[in-house]
Amino acid sequence: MAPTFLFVSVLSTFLAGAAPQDAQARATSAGYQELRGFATVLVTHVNRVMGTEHLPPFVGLPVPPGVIVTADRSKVQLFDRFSIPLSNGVPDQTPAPACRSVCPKVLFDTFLRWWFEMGIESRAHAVQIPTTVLVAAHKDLPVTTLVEIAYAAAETRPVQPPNFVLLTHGGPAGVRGIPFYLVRPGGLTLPPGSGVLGLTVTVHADRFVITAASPRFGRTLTARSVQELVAMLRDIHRHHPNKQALVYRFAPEVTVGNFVETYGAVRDEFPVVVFGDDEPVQAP
Amino acid sequence: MQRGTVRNVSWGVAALAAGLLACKPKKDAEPPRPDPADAAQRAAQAFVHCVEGGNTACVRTGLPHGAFDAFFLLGWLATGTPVAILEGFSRELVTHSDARAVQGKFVREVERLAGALRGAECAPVGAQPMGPMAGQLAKAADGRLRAIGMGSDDMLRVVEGLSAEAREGLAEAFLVRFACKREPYQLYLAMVPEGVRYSAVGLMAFLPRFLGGDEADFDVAEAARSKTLGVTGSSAPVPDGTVDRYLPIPIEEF
Repeated sequence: MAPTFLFVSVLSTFLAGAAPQDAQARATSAGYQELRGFATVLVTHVNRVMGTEHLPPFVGLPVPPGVIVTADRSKVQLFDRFSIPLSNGVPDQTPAPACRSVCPKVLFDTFLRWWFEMGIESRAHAVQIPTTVLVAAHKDLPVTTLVEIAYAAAETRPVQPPNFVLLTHGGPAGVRGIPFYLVRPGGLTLPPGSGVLGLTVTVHADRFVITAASPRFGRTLTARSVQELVAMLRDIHRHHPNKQALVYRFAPEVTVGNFVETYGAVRDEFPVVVFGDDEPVQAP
Repeated sequence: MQRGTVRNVSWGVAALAAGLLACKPKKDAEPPRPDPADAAQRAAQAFVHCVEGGNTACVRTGLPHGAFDAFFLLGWLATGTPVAILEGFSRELVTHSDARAVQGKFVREVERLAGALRGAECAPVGAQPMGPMAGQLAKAADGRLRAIGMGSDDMLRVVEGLSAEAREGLAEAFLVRFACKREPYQLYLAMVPEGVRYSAVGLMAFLPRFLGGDEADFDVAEAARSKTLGVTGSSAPVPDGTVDRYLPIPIEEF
């Protein structure tokens, strides 16, 4: 009986809030205390795996709670549950047959198992399957690997794809994030008359190529520097002031750090990030 | 006739005496005691048959269901998702402090699985003593919470309390593993001794690998679509005016 008595005492201590006495109120109070601990979990984990200073520098938005995926040039870690080896930042490229975006099997299978475990956890403890994936990617990681990670995570989550946040090092602001979306696996065809522009920037090591899904854009522009890219995008934004989103595609040599630098320059005009991999966007 | 009768009676008495001698227990040969792990597996199989039969009285009362719940919560802390633990752990502790609620959880879980178990062809494939596992689990939970930045003094005291409760209540218990041909694919039943027999106090669908759980023993792609495991559901509708569920931004911004 002694351990049970001890545990009940400990439980009371754990649940004891300042004032509320009923169980529900105590639980709520304790819950809020613990949810505030998420920032500590995030920073502790990222520091342990790679060090927050290796995240791309950028003062992004505050980070919501979510599941944490880290990736440097040697491995991808699904928090502390699974680890996937990378060779120079690239996973084994054998495709997963069930992955519509042709993502690597090793990523697809591991994320599938992770979401499966979280599904069981969700049912067993009456909690939500996490809706946000926080990706802490080393600034030297090929950004194509980040995109593959995101597609693997999106295509394996039960019910619907998660929200994504790319973590950044915000200096004194701490760990911050850039939310991003994906073009639907298999491509996106928008209905005629939807007014979509579908502006796309393909980032290479030495140039940026701007195209659009809408035939009315009707041209391909090439910028040789970030400054030139910004100037071109400002001009486009002047003609399409309601457009907020840019689809990014990447050459293999482009890193996460290169992407964040580019995003930092263009975000005033186009704050919404969409990663496209090779998925086509069509707006007839 | 008389002499013959007496002779027959004498033979009868001799045979009776011989029979009694044969039945008399030998001093140094005790009857073999059943292997407790086997006994736990047999009882677990009987429990599963009871559940398959739709019998609502399979769960017995007055057993250390709380100890199993403590074990289960330790497993969550040792392997669960931090954001889910932060969201739900204090609520689970409130439930844990109510013995009837804990038993009710087990009953609901049994009822939920009853239909699936009926056609799943589950068979016991092994039994592990839970006392040592509870200690291992507590150590893993403690180490993990410290490593991931959740090892507050309060939290570590809770781990200590759960550990003591699990070790005490499950000291003689066995965790019986079932392999099933269909969903739920695998099942773990906690069996505690109750006199000479074993009774079920909890079940779980998943056991961490460091406790001997075999996570690679079934097709996760198939399991992920399983209704029993509760990981499927209908998608939320795409909000009007957005591109699609991958790109839930206003279409005019794209």
